[in-house]
Amino acid sequence: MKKLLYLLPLSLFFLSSSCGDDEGPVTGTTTNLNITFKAVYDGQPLVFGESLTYTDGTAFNISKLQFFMSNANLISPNEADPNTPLETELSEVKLVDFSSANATAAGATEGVTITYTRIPTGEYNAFKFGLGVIPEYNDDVPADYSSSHPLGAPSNYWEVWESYIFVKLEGRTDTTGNGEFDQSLLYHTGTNALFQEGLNFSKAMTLVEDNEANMTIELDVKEILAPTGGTPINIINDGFSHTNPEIDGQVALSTTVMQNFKNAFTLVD
Amino acid sequence: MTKYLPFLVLYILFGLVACSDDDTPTADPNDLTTIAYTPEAYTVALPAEFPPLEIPTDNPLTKEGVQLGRRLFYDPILSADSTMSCASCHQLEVGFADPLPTSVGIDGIAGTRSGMSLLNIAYSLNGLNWDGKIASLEEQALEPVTNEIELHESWPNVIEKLKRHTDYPSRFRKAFGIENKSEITKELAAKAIAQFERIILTGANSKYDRVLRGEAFFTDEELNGFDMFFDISPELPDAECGHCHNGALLSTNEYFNNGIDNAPTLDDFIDKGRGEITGIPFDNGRFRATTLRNIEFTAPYMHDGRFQTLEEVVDHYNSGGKYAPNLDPLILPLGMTDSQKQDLVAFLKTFSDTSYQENPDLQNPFE
Ligand code: HEC
Ligand code: HEC
Repeated sequence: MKKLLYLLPLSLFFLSSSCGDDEGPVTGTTTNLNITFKAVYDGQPLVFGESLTYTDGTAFNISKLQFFMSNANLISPNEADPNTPLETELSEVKLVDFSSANATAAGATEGVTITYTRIPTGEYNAFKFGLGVIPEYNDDVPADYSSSHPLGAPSNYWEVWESYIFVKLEGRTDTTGNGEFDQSLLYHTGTNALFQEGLNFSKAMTLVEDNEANMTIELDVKEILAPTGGTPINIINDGFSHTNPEIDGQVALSTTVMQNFKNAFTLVD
Repeated sequence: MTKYLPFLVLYILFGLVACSDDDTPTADPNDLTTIAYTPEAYTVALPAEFPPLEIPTDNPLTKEGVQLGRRLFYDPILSADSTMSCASCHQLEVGFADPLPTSVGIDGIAGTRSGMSLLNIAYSLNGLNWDGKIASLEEQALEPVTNEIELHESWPNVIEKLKRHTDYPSRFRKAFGIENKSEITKELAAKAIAQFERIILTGANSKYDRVLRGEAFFTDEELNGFDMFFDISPELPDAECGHCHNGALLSTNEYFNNGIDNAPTLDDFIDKGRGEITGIPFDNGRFRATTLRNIEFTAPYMHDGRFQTLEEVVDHYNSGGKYAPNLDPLILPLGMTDSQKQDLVAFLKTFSDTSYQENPDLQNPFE
């Protein structure tokens, strides 16, 4: 009897967790889609803590990189009305955090993979998302969510702006060239005004039943700091921003960071 | 879902059959079935600003479970020489923390770490201990008993003592429905302790919470401290505290190097902390940013209890910390004046709320 009593709650637990996977009524055939994000610096896998050389020769390291991804959707052609393509929702809000992956060289090469299950099969021609937390959810606070929800971590919320922290990029800079990373490097951005819509990655894909599909997107930190064809951020003098509207220049700096961040993604596969 | 249905039916069926077996009266002295098993749900009144409690489905809070856990927590029966209990190092009066810098076990041997506050421990869902070595309260409760520098006892001994006890077997029956003393296990003991720990909640009555609810006002000093803690005012230095200690629990429960040790390279930390657990050198010297609730009473501070006062803690942060390649970028010279440092300390004291000490369910049941 005792044994069975234990198994009962266990089976109920399994029941509820398997139910959680069923995100709405999908009729017809489906398959899984893996979207992998790889953080790189100048095309090379980014390993947290390793010394990097900036465009001006300054040595620095990165210790944290993460971003919120909103309204991740797959796009498919709409024959009836070619001007309004069809969108299939993958997720509303996800946090892509490179903390564990990029702590080691092996992990950095592998990247962070999000697996979407039960995606309807068929033709798709693009993947798109918004960078940050959509205003609809940005009015919420972490206490509204459970700890496992991407919006549930107080560390990703900044009370002063009443906003989630859309992206975090952190590290340390060696300002004197003596091998000591003596200065903080930190960009935290947020607030509805900085939300970046419409990151769009064209990829023709035919999803076939039970045939996992893959997509790989690179995020190049060099493009965030020193975008190709743009002005590099001075990581020594402008190396710190909480997007504090009260402090001169922080909002402008964070706006630059967000725009660069948006353009730092490339579909590689 | 449908996959499990047949099993479910099967369990219930077996359950019924098994129950009818139990009807036969028995003279087994270890039999507990004459004691009623009617557990009642334990409900906690959470402060409105707290996130929902996350309780494992296989260990729901019951009145009987909490009371059993409370007894085990306060009972030296868990130690080899009956001199210490969990409560020896986690004392009610000091936020269920240890007033000693590093905790001392039954053999008088001190460890290297400071006993941690258990306030709002139900919300520590990102690993327990300073380094996050242990995942759940159920797992954690097993550890101090056998730890040589803590209770230094063996679980089989503890179980024997519990079985022979005049009170515990019936409490295990009432909490978990066991039918025989032989079914008392360390896992059930740990579950009960975990239930008790989950009701150690505080928050609603601190000045900080009352101000946020509009029921009280900060003094000018406290308000300055608040502004610095959360980087609010351009006229005052940003103290950056709120990045690592925030939310309802004033704790992100994440792992950082907050600069208390100098380490020219990542191999130079005396206590590797998080790195010991993950094996990742960049995690060396990182520890969990714990709750600041009732921080006024949980001295000494940091994982090794190195700072005696909040003034010392604030001096440390104001200095920008000691160098390590992974020193967190939020640890940097803050430029607070002496009076601003005092303002920050005044603000930290608004996190105090000792009203939990009046909760009879948290008090020592043997006094
Ligand atoms: C000898 C003193 C001592 C005793 C006895 C003791 N503890 Fe602890 N406790 C500590 C120390 C020290 C730590 C921090 C350990 C570490 O980080 O390595 C700790 C950590 C914890 C934590 C983790 C807290 C957190 O915030 O992560 C819990 C929970 C806990 N103890 C519960 C118990 C329970 C339950 C018992 C009794 C079964 C107990 N302790 C007995 C000293 C003690
Ligand atoms: C980068 C993150 C970070 C920042 C910023 C930070 N802390 Fe901490 N804090 C931590 C960590 C991590 C610990 C635990 C470190 C240890 O024990 O080794 C800690 C511990 C503490 C403790 C001791 C807790 C205990 O139970 O012993 C106090 C008090 C404290 N911090 C106050 C502050 C104040 C005040 C500020 C702002 C001036 C601040 N912290 C800024 C991460 C941070």
